[in-house]
Amino acid sequence: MRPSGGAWLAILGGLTLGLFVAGLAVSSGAWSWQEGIWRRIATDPELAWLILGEVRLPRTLIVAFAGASLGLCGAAMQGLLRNPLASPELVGSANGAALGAVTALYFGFAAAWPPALPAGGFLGALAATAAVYLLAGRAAGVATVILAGVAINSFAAALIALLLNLAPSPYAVQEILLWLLGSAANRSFQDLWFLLPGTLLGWLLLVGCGRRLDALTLGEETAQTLGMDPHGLRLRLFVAIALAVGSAVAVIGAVGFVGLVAPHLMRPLVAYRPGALLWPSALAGAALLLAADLTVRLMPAGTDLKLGVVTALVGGPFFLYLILRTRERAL
Amino acid sequence: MITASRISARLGGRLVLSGAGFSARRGELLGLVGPNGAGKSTLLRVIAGLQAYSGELTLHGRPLAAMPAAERARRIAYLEQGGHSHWPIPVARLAALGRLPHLAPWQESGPEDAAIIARVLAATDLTGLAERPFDTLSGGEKARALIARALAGEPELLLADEPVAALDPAHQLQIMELFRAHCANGGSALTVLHDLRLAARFCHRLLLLDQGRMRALGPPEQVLSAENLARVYGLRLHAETGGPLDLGWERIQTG
Repeated sequence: MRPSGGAWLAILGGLTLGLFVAGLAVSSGAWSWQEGIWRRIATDPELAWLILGEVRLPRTLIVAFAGASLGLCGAAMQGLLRNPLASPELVGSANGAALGAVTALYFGFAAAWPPALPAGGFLGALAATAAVYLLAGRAAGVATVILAGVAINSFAAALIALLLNLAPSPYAVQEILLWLLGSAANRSFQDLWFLLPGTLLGWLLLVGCGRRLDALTLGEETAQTLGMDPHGLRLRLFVAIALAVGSAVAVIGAVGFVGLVAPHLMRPLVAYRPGALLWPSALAGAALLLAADLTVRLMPAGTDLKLGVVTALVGGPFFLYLILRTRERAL
Repeated sequence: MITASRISARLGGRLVLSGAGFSARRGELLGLVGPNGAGKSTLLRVIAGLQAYSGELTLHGRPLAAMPAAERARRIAYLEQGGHSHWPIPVARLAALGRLPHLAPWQESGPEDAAIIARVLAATDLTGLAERPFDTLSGGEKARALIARALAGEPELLLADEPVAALDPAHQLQIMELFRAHCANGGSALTVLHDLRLAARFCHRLLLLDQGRMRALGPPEQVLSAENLARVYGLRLHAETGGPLDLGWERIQTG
């Protein structure tokens, strides 16, 4: 007998928890279970607990929260646009956050005051999302929203390219590029405290949106005759995504594809209902990003593979597969 | 039940509906007929709350404009023309969307909702397809699933824009019978129909629109008079047919 959707979700929950524990247990740079944290706890408990508590715990928590935000917002965005190829980056939050953070790096704010980096990213996400929302207009159709998103994303990418182009030294270029690749390495509790408010507020805004996304299955007009306000829902989702994805990208950089892949994996488990998809996608997003971060850490020492590169390497082909499947269905 | 007076509406600056007015009683099935572009769909959209208008709309004497959206959604169901499901959700789940206006914000659907869904699925011949994803259905099955969704809300007033356009003749009759049953149970329905013979056979009254204006309102045999058919549609009846009310066939009732 095939396990039901609920059983799959329980399995996924267990997997996420396992990945979280693995995230705490595995050290960076090569397989080192044998001289891993458990042995350290025996030999030098004070240092071991310091590493666990101050290094791995914040990093793993940040990865879990950011992944959950990306998965959750991806599901919300796909439900809103009624398109399985939509991703939360579409509303401009990711590129906007990247532009804000790169600006903070470029002008040296980040060097003078470290929190300026995530703060710049967060403000960039809000600004870009607001721009997409205003550009699309309140009553725009889905195609207009997508076009507005593409336009703002391209413009943000162009400004990032300009800053790279004008960077004073190769050193600065490298700093910016490495940040853009995305990483959760060396993140502290301070970063976690920065991540949490926007993340939780964004999640809170998405609580109770499920039913409206379900109604949207029938199109905006029919949803309206079912008593919901599609324009209000759009504004609410935009704000939620700007807050949650903006916070995530501000702290770990532009990590793509999680928001696209996570909802897709979960969709069959919830009978394709966009409302029921939200929280399982959060779980899947957390699991995916935890797995990606583990992959990064298990690379041989000195490789310094970036988190965003791993997700893109996995996500890119997956996106192609999605397009091929969509094409097949359309035929 | 529903009363519309002096309804006018503009689309892109053009007046597409001008001074339409009618009222439908409890238990009445009112057919909207007229050539393409006559303003039938616009009138339906006005009543559904999807189209800006001038004039007055009341439901049980209460102005619709002042009615809260949630209450309006419970009382009026709208079946859009050529609607579809954007996700391949199972048929039963699709029909369940019609129950949304009846659920309090955190209320899960209960056995009562399940019973209503089972009933509308049976009425639309979809019981056997309840777990089938929407995208695997045939065109007619999709149309019936969407009708089941609209009926699941148990609306007082059902607005249906060309509900039988994609259906085979037998299912057309079945759906029209369903609408009649809905009205017999105390509801009312307004439906746009292109098939005049179907309209004549099932609707209590017809409202004939042409170029945004009302041409006639009354019993089918009166509205579909030779003069109206000629004037509005440019049609002439063949002498040998049984007249505009003769559909020519009926459903074989089983069981």
